[in-house]
Amino acid sequence: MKATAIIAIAVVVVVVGAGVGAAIYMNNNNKDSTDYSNVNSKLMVRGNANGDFTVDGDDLSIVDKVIAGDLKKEDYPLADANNDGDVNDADKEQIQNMIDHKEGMTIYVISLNSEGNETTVSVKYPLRNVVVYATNMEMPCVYCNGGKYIAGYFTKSYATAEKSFNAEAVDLEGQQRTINDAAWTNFTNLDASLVAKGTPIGALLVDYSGIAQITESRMSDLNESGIPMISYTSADATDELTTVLTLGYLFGGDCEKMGLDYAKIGWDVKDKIKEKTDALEKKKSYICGTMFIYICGKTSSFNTSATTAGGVAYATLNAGFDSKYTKNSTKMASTEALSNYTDADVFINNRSMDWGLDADAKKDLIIETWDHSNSGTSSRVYFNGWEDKLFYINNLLPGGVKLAYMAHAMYGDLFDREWADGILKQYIDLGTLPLEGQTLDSILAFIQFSDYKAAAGIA
Amino acid sequence: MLVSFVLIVISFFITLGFGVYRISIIDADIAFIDHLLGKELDPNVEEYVWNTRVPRAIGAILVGAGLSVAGVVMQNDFKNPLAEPYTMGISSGAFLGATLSIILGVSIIPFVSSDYMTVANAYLFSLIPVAVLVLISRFRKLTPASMILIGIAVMFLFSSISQILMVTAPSENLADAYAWRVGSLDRLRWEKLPIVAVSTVIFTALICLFIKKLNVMYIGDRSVKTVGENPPQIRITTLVLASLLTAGIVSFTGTIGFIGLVGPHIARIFVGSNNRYLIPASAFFGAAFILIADSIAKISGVNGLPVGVISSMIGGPLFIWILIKQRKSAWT
Repeated sequence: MKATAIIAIAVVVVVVGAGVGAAIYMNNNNKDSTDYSNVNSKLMVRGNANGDFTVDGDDLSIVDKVIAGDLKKEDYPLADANNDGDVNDADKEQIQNMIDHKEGMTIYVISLNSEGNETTVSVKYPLRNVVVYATNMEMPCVYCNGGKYIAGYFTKSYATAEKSFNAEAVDLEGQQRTINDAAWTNFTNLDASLVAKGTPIGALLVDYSGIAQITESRMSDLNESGIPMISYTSADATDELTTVLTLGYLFGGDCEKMGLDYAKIGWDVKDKIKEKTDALEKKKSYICGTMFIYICGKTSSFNTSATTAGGVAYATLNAGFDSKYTKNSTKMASTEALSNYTDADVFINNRSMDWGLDADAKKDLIIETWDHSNSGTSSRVYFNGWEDKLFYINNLLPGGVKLAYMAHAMYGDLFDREWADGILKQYIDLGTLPLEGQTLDSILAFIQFSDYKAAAGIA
Repeated sequence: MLVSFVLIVISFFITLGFGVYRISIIDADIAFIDHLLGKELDPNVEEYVWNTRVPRAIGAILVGAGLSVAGVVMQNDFKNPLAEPYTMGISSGAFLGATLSIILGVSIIPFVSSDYMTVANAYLFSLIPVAVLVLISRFRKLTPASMILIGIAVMFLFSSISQILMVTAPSENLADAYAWRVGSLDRLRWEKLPIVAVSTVIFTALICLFIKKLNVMYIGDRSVKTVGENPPQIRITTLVLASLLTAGIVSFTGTIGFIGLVGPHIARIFVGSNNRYLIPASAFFGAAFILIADSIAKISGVNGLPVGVISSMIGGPLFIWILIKQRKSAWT
């Protein structure tokens, strides 16, 4: 046989093989009733057919209409409350159980899987004995007053903000951005001890930015033990509202009400910002930062929050910047790192800062934030010339508060400081436990140059 | 030396135009001269050329010269071509001190400002290896070989402690520690440069006072004694000076490897082993080398690279090439 004939046959085999493989793969994916992309819902549970804040009679009537053929099933993916791929009477029964808050039932929760795709995980209602990983998931858990249901945590860094953790919760001795093998062993041991007591771990709650720590083998451990993993991009302000709402719902009782009230305040802020900024001819450009001198890439959660707050990511305006800062966060390589991007309107720097501060502690924290030493070089040096457009926002605060301060940083004339402070006050008054006993003076929510100058005694 | 001097001058003016901030070499040089003449500069040019690049370039000269001179002294003291600040544990001591500060937030000296906490830790820890040598030498007679082996042992000990700290460090602290480990001249600005300059100049000058004694050390300890000198005393004294010289540099810049080893060797090939010529030649070569390496570092990669990486990447192949080309050993 000639060489060309052999090559031709080989090409045909490869093409056909690839085609068959792709068809099998796509077919398998289509069979997975859990694979809905971008479910647009506030409360991320199946049965919340209309995607609003709760499961109620409205959801039942949508299911009725889908069964009757008046509405399309594809338009209401969450109408499939029991996750069996069909919308029928069984879904009505499931939703009725949810409305009745029937204990012991299974609830099907929309979550992110390891690849970042939306999937469905089943949890027992009410959710108890959760283990939390990473601050951006811990805070939503305590904001809905669900700290009492925390059985274990991998890290806990903020004594006051996280004071409502269950006192019996086990420190699994992980780190802020790492779950080492010893910490994972502590986790599996905790599950074993709780199983022996008949109260197994209800779910592992993971901030999606830390999903790399849940490796394939650890995922196998979870599957073998029947522990569901619930993961959200809860560093994003909007997703944080959704996370608080959903966790509150799953915990039930007073947590459900807290989650609902919490999310509604945030959504009102979001809607107000959208209403006022949509009309603007030119929106403000922002660069987001974290950990003092790390620049956030276009897709980071801090950036998506700032976009929700009405801004335009500078990365979308400057291709050179975008190509340099592709990761979620990249450390500034030199003190000249920002020198060519001075046309950006603001730099929003996100920092997690605990509260319960007196006047002196607040002053010290302002100075430490502005002057933070980065291996011997002050942050001030990196931000030389940016002073008037550099703003630090407390990342531990509720998503609605962060959105309000971000909007204020970008559009001070549309959203004044009093308004943003007022949103924080609303959350304090709400009775959410992390903010219990706090005042506007005991929380460092927002730092700008004038605050630094006042604290440092600079004219 | 003349070639090195010319290279330093040319590289100095070229490096002012290198960096993230976009400005041509000519405009940067004009800005430099304008500032010297007291003219007012554009705020960005003032910040990125005068406040950032000029001290960094001067720092590169001091760092290259200082580390090379320290390398000359150590190779001379131990009559060992592998001796340099890194193999003597000085750099790994500095790194351990810096790591304690960066990862654990521990300050050895209380009430030091956060900007200088890492520097102070690094400085003190970098002096521990030589302190150990001085202490042991008071009780036991140490040969040059045993001294260098003690230095290496301390280096490994410090490195392993640093590794333990890094393994358990949060990722952002780990990144900071790693950045310190590979060395950078970015930290040298006007406020810190005078300390490095004064330390480098003073200890280099003090080392120069020992040039004759260092030359005598080449003939071997027994022979040195016959001319009325005390070899252990000369060795310890010059080693302490070289350690102080190195500590004053690496505590500010982080570990910049290779120049302490390669600088003296290359200079020796051209001027021989007489310290009267070798020390200044090493200083000039080291200064030119680090200045050029830093210029390349500033424009390498997407966001620039640490000078320590570039100096080793250039220095390694250059050194091998020179050793192959060399007809006879400069150590003979």
